[in-house]
Amino acid sequence: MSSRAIPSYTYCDDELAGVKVLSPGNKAWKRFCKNRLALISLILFVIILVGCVGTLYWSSKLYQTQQLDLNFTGPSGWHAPFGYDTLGRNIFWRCMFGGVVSLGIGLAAAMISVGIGTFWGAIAGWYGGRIDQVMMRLVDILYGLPYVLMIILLKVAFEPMLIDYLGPGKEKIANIIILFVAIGGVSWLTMARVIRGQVLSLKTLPYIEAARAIGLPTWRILLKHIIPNLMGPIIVYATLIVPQAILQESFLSFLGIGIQAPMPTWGSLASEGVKAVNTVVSFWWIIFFPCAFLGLTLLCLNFIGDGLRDALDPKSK
Amino acid sequence: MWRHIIVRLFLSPIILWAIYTITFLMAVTIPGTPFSGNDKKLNPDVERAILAKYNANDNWAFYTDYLVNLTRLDLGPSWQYSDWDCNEIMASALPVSIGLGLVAMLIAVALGIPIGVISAVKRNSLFDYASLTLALIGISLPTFVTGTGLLILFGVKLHWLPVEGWGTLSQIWLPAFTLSLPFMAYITRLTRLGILDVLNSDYIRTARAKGLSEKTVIWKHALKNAFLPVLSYIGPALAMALTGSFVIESIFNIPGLGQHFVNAVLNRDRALILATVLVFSAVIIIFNLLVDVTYALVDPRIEVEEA
Repeated sequence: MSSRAIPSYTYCDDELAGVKVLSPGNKAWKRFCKNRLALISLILFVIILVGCVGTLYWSSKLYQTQQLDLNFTGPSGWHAPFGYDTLGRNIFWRCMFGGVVSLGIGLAAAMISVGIGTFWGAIAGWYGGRIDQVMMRLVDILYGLPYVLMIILLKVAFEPMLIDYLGPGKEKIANIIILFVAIGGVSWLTMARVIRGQVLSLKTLPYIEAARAIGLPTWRILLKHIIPNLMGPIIVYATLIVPQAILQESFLSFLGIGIQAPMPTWGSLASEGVKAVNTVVSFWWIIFFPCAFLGLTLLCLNFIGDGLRDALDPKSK
Repeated sequence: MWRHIIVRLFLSPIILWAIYTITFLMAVTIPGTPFSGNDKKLNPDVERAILAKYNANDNWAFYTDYLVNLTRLDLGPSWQYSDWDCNEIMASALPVSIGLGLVAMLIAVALGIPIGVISAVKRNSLFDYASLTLALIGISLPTFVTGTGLLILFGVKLHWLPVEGWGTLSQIWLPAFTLSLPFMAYITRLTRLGILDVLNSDYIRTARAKGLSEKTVIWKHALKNAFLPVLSYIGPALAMALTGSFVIESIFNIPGLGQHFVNAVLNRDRALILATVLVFSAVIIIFNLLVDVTYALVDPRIEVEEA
């Protein structure tokens, strides 16, 4: 990042004195590792992620296999550590496959909101003045919108169009793409605000003035000199968007407009579990395992986000 | 600050118009109308007459007519429920959703702030960890799961509270508490952080040096500053509580706006879609303004940040 700006003799001096010089990234990583909770969360999250993605080959084949004679069978041994659901499908494989879909939705939403939010915030902050006013007022307006309503509307309005466009047989893909876009499309607002604020303060710094003085075009200053310096807040907010997106998908699934059955997500599995709850017999495994995955992952992501915020904050030591 | 509030007040109709236009554009792209008839084909003449009655065949005419009616606070007839007017539907459902959202926010504030303060004062104690756990559950589990859990515990096993329905005071506790959980979690953390931030500051030391009791120092002096971030969170949180009540309404079988909206979208009931979005947005705008006014009252130093 800014290491080029540091005169080289500081390196020499420190190295001569036998002091190991750490890059800003290394320092941040050290700070992150000191936060025990965040580190444990990161390890747990990586385990869940690798588990879900690593078993994709099998889970994508087995998640909708029905064994009707086994429906409502509880956890039993190696074959079905999490038991079977109401339709006799193996909950373990459904959780694994649902995890891939859920995490994919979270990741896609984070990427979309990073893309739009960074672009929007950087432009507004850089140009300032009237452009900034208009762009930020628009963000204010969208902030005031009931976003659940917007996700529902976006999804119902554009899904048929996309299915038309992609052609028949691609309904599943259209369904997922629309979910990605709808959830990502409403979660970029905070990102845009944060980025704008950062750009406002960055653009007055001497190094940007220098870049302007040597005649760099605007897009190059933004891409090469401003945005790399914003990686900290971008990473932190992207991490915090992932759990939100996963939760929002679960609400949509609960309302019956989320991902299409039989494709599972942790959210849809949890809502299936909730619907299977009754007062006479308890099928606890149908609801417990998906919720455990969902809750644990969201917890980990929230802790990782908090940990990153502390670690990447240049003010913290 | 007051100038800012007045500007916002004048801007709100424009914002509502923008929201109306965005929603209209999306509602128009949803294919189909409730009139096309699912089971049997309507007589073409009848269909044409119905479409004409609701202005459904001419999008531009619908857009302008509806906008004109809006200025008279007339939300138009529902396309799906032919006996109902959107105003009537709103009048019956909106108080339920607002009531639920407000009670939930009250619970969140009334429990979240004291818990946050106590966790900050006794940090790293058993109470602190217990409240952290509670907060984490609130943040990381969807409300339909926590709601079902509470319902089974208090409604079915313990028989303390009714499991569903709406109308009596005892029926509001379970759904409101469920809805308040994520907000309570957030408020607890905000308060805790805020108090921890100010506890080491000079004015708290001065207050202690004057010989004020610890109770006064914490609950009056420290809390007053720690409360500001909470206050600015309450505005957006109220908006989220209102729309978040959708899921809660369907678990506890509450006749609020949420079900109407989902059904309106699924039925392609354009008038009701617009009505719901507009009413929700208006409520959100009003609440945000109220929060701004409270902000100005609580802290007279606050200047409007240069937007």
